[in-house]
Amino acid sequence: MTWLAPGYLGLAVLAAAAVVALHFFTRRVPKPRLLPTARFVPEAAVSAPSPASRPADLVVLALRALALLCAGAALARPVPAPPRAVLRVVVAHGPDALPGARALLGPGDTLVVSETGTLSAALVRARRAAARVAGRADSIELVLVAPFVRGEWDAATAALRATWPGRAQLVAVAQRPPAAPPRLEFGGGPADDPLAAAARLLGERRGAATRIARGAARAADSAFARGGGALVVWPTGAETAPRGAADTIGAVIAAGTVVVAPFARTVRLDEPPAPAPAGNADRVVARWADGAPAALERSLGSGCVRSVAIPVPTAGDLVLRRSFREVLDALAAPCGGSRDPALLDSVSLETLRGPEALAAAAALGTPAAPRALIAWLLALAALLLFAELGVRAWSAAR
Amino acid sequence: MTAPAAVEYGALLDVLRGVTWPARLHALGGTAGTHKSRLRGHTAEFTEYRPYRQGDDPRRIDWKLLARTDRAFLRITSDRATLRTMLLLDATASMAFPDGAGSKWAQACRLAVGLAAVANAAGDPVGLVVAGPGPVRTVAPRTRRGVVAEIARTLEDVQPAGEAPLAPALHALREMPRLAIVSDFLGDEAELLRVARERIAGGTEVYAVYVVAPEELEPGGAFLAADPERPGLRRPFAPEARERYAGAFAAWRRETARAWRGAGAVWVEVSAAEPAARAVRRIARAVAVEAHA
Repeated sequence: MTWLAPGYLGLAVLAAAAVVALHFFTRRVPKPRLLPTARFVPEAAVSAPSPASRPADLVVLALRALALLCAGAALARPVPAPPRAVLRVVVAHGPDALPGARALLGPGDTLVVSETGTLSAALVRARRAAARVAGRADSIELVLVAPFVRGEWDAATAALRATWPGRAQLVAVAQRPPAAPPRLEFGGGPADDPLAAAARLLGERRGAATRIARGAARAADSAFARGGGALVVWPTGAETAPRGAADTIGAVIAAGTVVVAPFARTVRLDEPPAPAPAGNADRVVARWADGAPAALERSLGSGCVRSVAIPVPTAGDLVLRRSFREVLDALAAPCGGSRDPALLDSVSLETLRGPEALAAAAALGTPAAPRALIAWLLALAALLLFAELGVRAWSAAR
Repeated sequence: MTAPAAVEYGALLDVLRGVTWPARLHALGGTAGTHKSRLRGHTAEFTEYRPYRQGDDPRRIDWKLLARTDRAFLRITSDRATLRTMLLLDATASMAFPDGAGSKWAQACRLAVGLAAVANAAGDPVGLVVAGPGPVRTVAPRTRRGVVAEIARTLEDVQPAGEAPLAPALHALREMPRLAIVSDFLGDEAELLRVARERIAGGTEVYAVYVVAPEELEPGGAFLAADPERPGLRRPFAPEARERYAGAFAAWRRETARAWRGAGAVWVEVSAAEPAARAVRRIARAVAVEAHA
């Protein structure tokens, strides 16, 4: 049994002790006897407190002390002792981590599947799961089952890891061999599409195809995406709806590459909701210099659809520059984006492991005190006080 | 608390046979009795000669003396009269203390019967008034022999309880030559004394017989003293308060006795544990004792 507000219990114990102490000071009224000359007896208090060697009115004392303790216990919000000492939250991060994570699961452990996003997303999901199960154990151990590659680490990972106040067990799974860069298929668009020229500069690719739909996407394109492919919808400019008040922006950023050029923004992309709804893995692939989304990836079936709002200049050599090619490479990456396959360095791994001690369950989430128990304790306290009144009335009647 | 049964007074009446209760003052006259009268009559008990004055009854002239001395003298003789006596008993709750035969009420009953017997033996009409809760019980003053038994039977039916003033009952007893108030004077003593002063001024002999219980003089133990006539009066009686209590009680008794004696009454304090016959004798001779004192 633990107490969420143990101060009230301490106060109740002190009050009960005070009541016991007061019962050692008896206030006895002498037995009445008729005396016609009572008027000549000096006036004095009918009763006066006097210390005694043993407490008076033991039944009343017991009822009062129990009532105080019950009320104090109710206000202290008791929480029954968790059935387990240590509970593990096993996070399977990545498509290949789930079997290994299942193998690590013990009775009562919690499995968190984090198929998309980086380690930051996995840590957030683990934190939420720990808050839900905080009342079932004294301590919670985090088990991260992931390939631990650099591509899974982002700027928020260290800060999010710091919010887990305990150690983490790292279980590395074999990294899936890096897939070959995807082949690019073009649908629609003019024959002299500068984007096709830029794609040819990327070289020969043998990986799974990424389809770039210039203009509006067709039914076959959607079917391609549902089948697991990455469909990039990149308007040519003529068919796109106006962005409202068109403006010009000076740069676009994707995968750490900045393309500096005067882009005319005619298409507006909405920021994906945060947090993303369950089953929706929308993410921003590219951003304008002012932070607005320039390319947005939405999951569709087993694949994804990327909406690109970056106009392709038909004049100049911008599309032939290396920076634009790298942006095109990022936009044409497989669903979920390409990750750096290099393993994390030792410093990052140590950061993930954290301190030696286990995280206290109370630090990860406040276990809810059972309201029924509190209600019963308060009812019992009230019942005891009523009984105390009855006993006193009965004693007075005697 | 009840009065002793009438048959229990036999021993008391036997002991009191021959005891007299003389009047303090000369009686006003009336029926011939044992008490000296203020009137001069024709009895054989010679008192003095007085020179004849115009208007005297010539039949009272001592003719033999006139023949010897040639002067006219009247022969003055004392007269004897009866003395109507009324007993006023306090039947309030305070008189029912303590429980049992040793109560103040039982002693008051014995005193009333004893005084009635003594007065009746002298040929005086004797009656009874019992002031207590409910209607006042009265036995009219009579001289017949059965009046003492009637008084005893009347007292047998009385249960002292509650609170009742004595002054109205005393006020109603007008033209009564002798009154004996048997009480503990813990009720309306001030008003009672005021009415008694009126009666004394009217020529009534008033006897204030104060009955006190030994338990009142020296209460034992520690307890919460409750006044039977004042339910709200409850005071703790502790051993350390005994001295102050005794002092206050004695001062009250002393002051009350002084007030009644100052008013012209005969004050007699009788303990509930005192033999009734001795107490009756003390009351009967209180005149001489007080006069001597």
